[in-house]
Amino acid sequence: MVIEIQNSKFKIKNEKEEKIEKDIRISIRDLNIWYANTRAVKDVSLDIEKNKVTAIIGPSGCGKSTLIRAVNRMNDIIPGVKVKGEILLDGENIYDEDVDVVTIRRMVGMVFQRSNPFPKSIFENVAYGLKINGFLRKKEIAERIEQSLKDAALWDEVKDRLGDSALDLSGGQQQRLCIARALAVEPEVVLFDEPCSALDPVATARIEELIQELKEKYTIVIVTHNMQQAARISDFCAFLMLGELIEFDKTDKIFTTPSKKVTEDYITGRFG
Amino acid sequence: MGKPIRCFMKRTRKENLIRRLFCLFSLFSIVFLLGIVIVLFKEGLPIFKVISFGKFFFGKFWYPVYEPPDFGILPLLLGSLWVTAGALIIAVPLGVASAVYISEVAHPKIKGFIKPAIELLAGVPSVVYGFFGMVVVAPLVQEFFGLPVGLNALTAAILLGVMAIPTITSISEDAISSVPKSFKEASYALGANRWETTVKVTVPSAAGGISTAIILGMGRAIGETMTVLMVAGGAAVIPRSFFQPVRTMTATIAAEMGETVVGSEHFHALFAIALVLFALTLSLNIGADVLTQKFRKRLR
Ligand SMILES: Nc1ncnc2c1ncn2[C@@H]1O[C@H](COP(=O)(O)OP(=O)(O)OP(=O)(O)O)[C@@H](O)[C@H]1O
Ligand SMILES: [Mg+2]
Repeated sequence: MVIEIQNSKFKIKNEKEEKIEKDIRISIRDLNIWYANTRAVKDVSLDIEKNKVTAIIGPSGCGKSTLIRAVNRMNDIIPGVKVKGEILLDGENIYDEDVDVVTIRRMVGMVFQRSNPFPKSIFENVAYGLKINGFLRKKEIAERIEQSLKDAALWDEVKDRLGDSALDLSGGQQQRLCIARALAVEPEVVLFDEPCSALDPVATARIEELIQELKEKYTIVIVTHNMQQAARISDFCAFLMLGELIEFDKTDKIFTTPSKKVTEDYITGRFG
Repeated sequence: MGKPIRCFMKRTRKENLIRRLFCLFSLFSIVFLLGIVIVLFKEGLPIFKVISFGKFFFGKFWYPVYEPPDFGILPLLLGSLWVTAGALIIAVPLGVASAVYISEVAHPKIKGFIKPAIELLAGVPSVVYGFFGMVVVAPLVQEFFGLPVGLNALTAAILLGVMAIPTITSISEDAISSVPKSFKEASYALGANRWETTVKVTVPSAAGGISTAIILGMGRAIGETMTVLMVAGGAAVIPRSFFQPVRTMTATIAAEMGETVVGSEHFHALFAIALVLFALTLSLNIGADVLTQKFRKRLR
């Protein structure tokens, strides 16, 4: 009897999750994050849709990076960080005790504000994640590297010099290399934390274009300081202030008819 | 109006004076170095009037007081290299591993204890190492390997290794802890754990600094005199194993310089050895410098 009840409970839960899975990939539920005693993220809940670009905007220090880093548990490596709440990735809470961080980080890739290629060759940079995750066959690694460099729109520029140091590339190329490196392990979600803030307009346009292409295959979350950028590339937009989620909606709506006054003030540049 | 200007002039004159004084102080060490180099060349080169370069460097016998004398430094050169190589075999793994442990693994409290402890090793006078070597290490080595004598290349290598550890550890540790955090973040974000990140990203990124550390540690071992004089055994024969007594270039100079007649062939030969040592350590320092520069450029 008891077993049956448990079973049926389980079933109901599963059906629910399947329904969610159809369009929502990540579901953040009542998330709170503390650095020692300061609360950087306060009761944030939001759903991130599959194969869409979700932008997080807000004034400096409002917790954008903290929030996005929570999605692949990068905050774990900072001592003193405390997380409360849930982040469901395809219905499974990534903060559950029995969840393997490695699996999460492999499913949720990340590109950082300042490009950070390893001081290794271009090839080795992209191969790193593959080797870490147990890909050992040379041919497979080479194929994956080619594919991810193509996906990151860098292949044509580097295909003849894969052995060169990654640090000899230009800033924009380095950032695309970091994108390729993140894509190589075939994540489902890619997080971008201000990926263009150190780049010139041409390189920025390049990355924006790339993000548009990537959303065919991946779910994308991007933090940006640049209002126009958010308007140009995102489908959904979350506005954060002092750690709180002020407004979350379709990007069109946020930028044309925001429902809150602060949001309007912020996007029209009246503060921040 | 006159007063402030005079005051101003006075100050610049004073500043100039101070500047010159400091310039003089820093010149002092350069003058000293120059003096050393000149004396080394002046006193060392005359030996080559008596003996050819080839015989000096590749001569198998060092019998400076025989009649006729032999000034072949090959046994001494090999003695130095032998002992230094042994020291590095011990000091490199231990020194680098300690550096990795201190900067990447250790809890801050443990780090606060281990780091000064290792640095303290550098402050122990070499005669104390020598003494410790004679009384403790040599008998242990003798007993453990069943040797006729405990004063040999192995004992010297062990002690020099321990002496080189602080150099290697502290410079490597600097290099490892100055690897940008962003490299580690990138590695973690790809699903690597701490161990993989340390071994495959952090340490390779610090490779330049670690090689500099090893070279400087090597310099420390090659130049060390008192300890090897006390524990290496002192036999000027070409070493064939670590269990043999050996004699290094430094120990030879220290032991023989006091007993030789100033201006004699033996005297010039000892200076020539010093010249060789100087050239060796100088090239090690230059090598370390080049590596540091290269390393800096790589990390921007
Ligand atoms: N490692 C840390 N330790 C302590 N406090 C931190 C740490 N990182 C961030 N904070 C604090 O948490 C708050 C949110 O920081 P966060 O970096 O998430 O802001 P942000 O929105 O990304 O800002 P920016 O736009 O400048 O990048 C800030 O008040 C910041 O001071
Ligand atoms: Mg930020």
